[in-house]
Order: sequence, then structure tokens, then C-alpha cells
Amino acid sequence: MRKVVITGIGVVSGIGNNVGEFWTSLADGRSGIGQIAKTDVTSLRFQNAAEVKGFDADSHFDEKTLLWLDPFAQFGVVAAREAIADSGITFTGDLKEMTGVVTGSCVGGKTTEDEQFRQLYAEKKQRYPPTIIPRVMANAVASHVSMEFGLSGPTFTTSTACSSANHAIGQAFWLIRQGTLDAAVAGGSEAPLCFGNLKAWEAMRVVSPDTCRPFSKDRSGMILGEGAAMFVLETAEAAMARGAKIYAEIAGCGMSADAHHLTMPLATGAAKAMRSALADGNIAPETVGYINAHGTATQANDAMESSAIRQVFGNRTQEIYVSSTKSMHGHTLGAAGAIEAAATVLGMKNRKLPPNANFNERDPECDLNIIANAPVDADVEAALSNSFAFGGLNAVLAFRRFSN
Amino acid sequence: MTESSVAERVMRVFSEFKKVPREDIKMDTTFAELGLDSLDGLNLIFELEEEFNVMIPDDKVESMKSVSEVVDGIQWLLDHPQEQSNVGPKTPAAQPTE
Repeated sequence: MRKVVITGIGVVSGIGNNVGEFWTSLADGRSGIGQIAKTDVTSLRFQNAAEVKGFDADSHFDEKTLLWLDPFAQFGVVAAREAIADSGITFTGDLKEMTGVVTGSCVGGKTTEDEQFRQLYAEKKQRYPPTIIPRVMANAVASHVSMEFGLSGPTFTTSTACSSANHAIGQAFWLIRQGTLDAAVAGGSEAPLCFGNLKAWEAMRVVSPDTCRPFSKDRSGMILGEGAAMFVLETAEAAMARGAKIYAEIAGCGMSADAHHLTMPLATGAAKAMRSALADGNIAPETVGYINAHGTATQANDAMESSAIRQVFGNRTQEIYVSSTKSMHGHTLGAAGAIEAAATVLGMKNRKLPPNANFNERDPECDLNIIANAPVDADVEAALSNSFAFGGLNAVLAFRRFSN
Repeated sequence: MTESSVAERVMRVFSEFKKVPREDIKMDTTFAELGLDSLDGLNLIFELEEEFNVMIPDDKVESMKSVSEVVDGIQWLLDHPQEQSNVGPKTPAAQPTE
């Protein structure tokens, strides 16, 4: 069976607009959560999010191209460019045919849609610009990246709420492993911080009025974020042949559905996805040293996820480092799995595991070895990155330290 | 606004939401007795916000598990309109600054 490795990473996030800045923030345990600036939120019950800061769209795209790009697509394309440059890959004729783009997004061009609806219904505007349909479509990132780099293999977008990116990366990984593709650009992107969508989150009553404290006894809900992360995936054979740097092997993917409830997660469903990822990657559970948790900081998720981890790892649970980096970059929904996979893989490569920021007090309901507030130096052989979505759809990625 | 009229309106919202006769809803009826799960509870709170045009803060929601607790909570919010948001701007005149 073909081995699949990660050779390039690109990130746009609330804690840095490239991989270098992102990793520095993670390693410092620095949170990007603060008062929302891009829209007036004084009437909302929550005020904070992890916004992307200092992102200059005009420096990345010309005026004409920008007409076709919602912020979620701008983030996605910029992250994909960084990942491709980082990997050093050259897309020749044959390789272009065998490279696909698989991206995740939960709400697509929501920001564009929200603004157009406001103009249509509130301001009684008579006409839409012709760019709206392609700006709003959730597959915009996959299409733009494929066009920009001439990549003509299987290319599509998955939308499974907060698991979208893990489903996308998992699909790309499987397509390469089974020989359908030789390489892929895969990841997720999201820009959910427009007023109409924030209002909808307010009604769910799961957003914290202050900050994101995953697994902490005083946790008070999730904090939204925005951004993108993209990866270049290719076979280990091809990567080694061209002397590419290899961050880690993507070794397994596990998916499951709770078949239970729209918003109340079930530990057996999450455990099933973790077990399935380990089995798919032929990873012995005792080699797992780190889990980048879904860790939304809602009461329901964190207790459920702790129970699920214990179901899978039993007595070894306390030996596994766990952190939710959402405490720093927020919950980026359809980009979450990708940004957290980047945190996981960079942690493995740098032998330093990113912390769970804003952690105040252990919770008996979350009896895990949490990396509280400061990173730990550790050289782990294997790691998991969990994503569990509203609707009970779970996707877990398993990574292994690369060795040939 | 009298307390009984608030109670009457709350019980009407409950009976319409659950599609049960009005007389089946009593002051001591609980969410659990009506078989409301967490999502049903959220939707019911939304109906109550619409009925009374109030914003019920998250911490108040947590203390509303029966008809009488909802009536008390709504009455309190109607009496304290400046408390309807956890974090939004407070009415400046309501509380003198020190």
C-alpha cells in the first residue's frame, strides 16, 4: 500500500497569516481571541471571536479576481499557495493530471450572501452583481486552486459542519493511497463572522461571553474563529525521490456517524471514529502520544470527548498529551480540522506539542492529560486530530512520524 | 402587567408549542414532564422571547426548567429590562456610576 506524506503547509488564522506566525503563536500559547471588529456586535450576547488580522486581500489578488472571491475563498487560496510553495513541488503535465484539490467548508460564501440579502431586503436594491453565485458556492476554493495551478484530477468539496476539513483531507489521503491520485491539495477554509451568521450562533446558546476554555471546569462555551489551512499530500516515494522535506505521514482516517441527535454528541460515535483511524493506519494505540482534541469548550463536547478517549485508550489515557488549540485560533468550523491538523503536524515535526490555552481548573468530567497553558517538549510517534460535527458526523485523522 | 397575565401567556405558549390542551399545562409542569430535550427547550425559549419581546440571557435559561420558573424569569426580565443582555450596552440611566 502506498504511503502518503505531508510536504507542504499553508495557514491563515486568527493567530497568524502564515505557517511561521501560526507556529510561533501556538508555541507561545498565545490566543488570538478578542472583540469582533469586522461587524458591529454590541447588540449580541457575545462579543469575541478569533478574527484573522492584518490580512490584505489586495496584496494577494488583483481587483478583477477579488470580485469572484468571498473572504473564505481568499483565505483558502492564499493558504493553498503557501502550501504549494512550501512543498517545492513542480506540477508538470502528467502530475497535473494526477493531482486533485479537496477542500472543506461549512458555510461557504456566507459573508457575501449576508451582505447581498441585507441590500436586497433592507435597502430594497433592485439588482445583484453577476459574481454572487460563484462567490457563494462552497466549492469556490477547490475550483480556484485547480484553475490557478492547472490541477485536473478529482476535485471537490465536502460540507459536514465542523468536520468538513477532516472529511476532505481524509478523502484526499485515501484517493492517493488507492492510486486514483498521485498528489493533492487538501484542507479547509471558513469565514463565518458576518452578522447574520453570528445572530444564528447566538440563538444556539453555545458561544462563550468571554473566551474559549476547553476541558477547564469553568469552561463557558465555544468561540468562533475564521481562516484556512491547506496541505500538499503526495506519496512518500515521490517526495523522497525529489528530496522534499516531509512533515509527517498521514497514516489513517476514521469516519463515523452517531446516528443519535443533532446537537448532543455521543461518545461511542467519537470512539468509533478514533478506533477506525487507528485501524486504517495500522497504528498501535500505545504509540499514540498526542491528541489534538475537538475540544470546543462546550459542556457537552468536552465531557463526551474525554469519555470517548478513555473508551479507546483505557488505562493509557493519562500517558497521552491532549490539547484543544481552539483555545487560541477559535472554532473555525469547516476549516477546524485543517488548522488543527497543521497544529498537530507542526508539533510532531518540532517535537513541541501546542498547549491548551485559557485552562484554569481540572474537571473530573474531563480526566485527561491536558497540556495546560504552556507547550511540552515531546517526540511522539503517532498523533490523532479529532473533529466531531453537529449532526453527529465524526472524522479523525491519524498521523505518524515519518521514517523510511 | 400583572403576574397572572404573564403566567397565562407563558402557559399558552407552552400548550401551543407542545400542541396539548391548555388545561394540561400547570404552574408546576416541568420541561422533563413535557418530554422536552435540549433542542426543544431552546426552541421554546425562542417562542417565549418572541411572545414577550425580551432577550433571555443564557444564565437565566439554565434556571428555567418548569412553567413557574419560566414565569418568574420572564416577570423578572420585564421588571429589569436593562438585564436582558449579558454583555450588551446597559441603559446608562438605570445604574448611576459611582
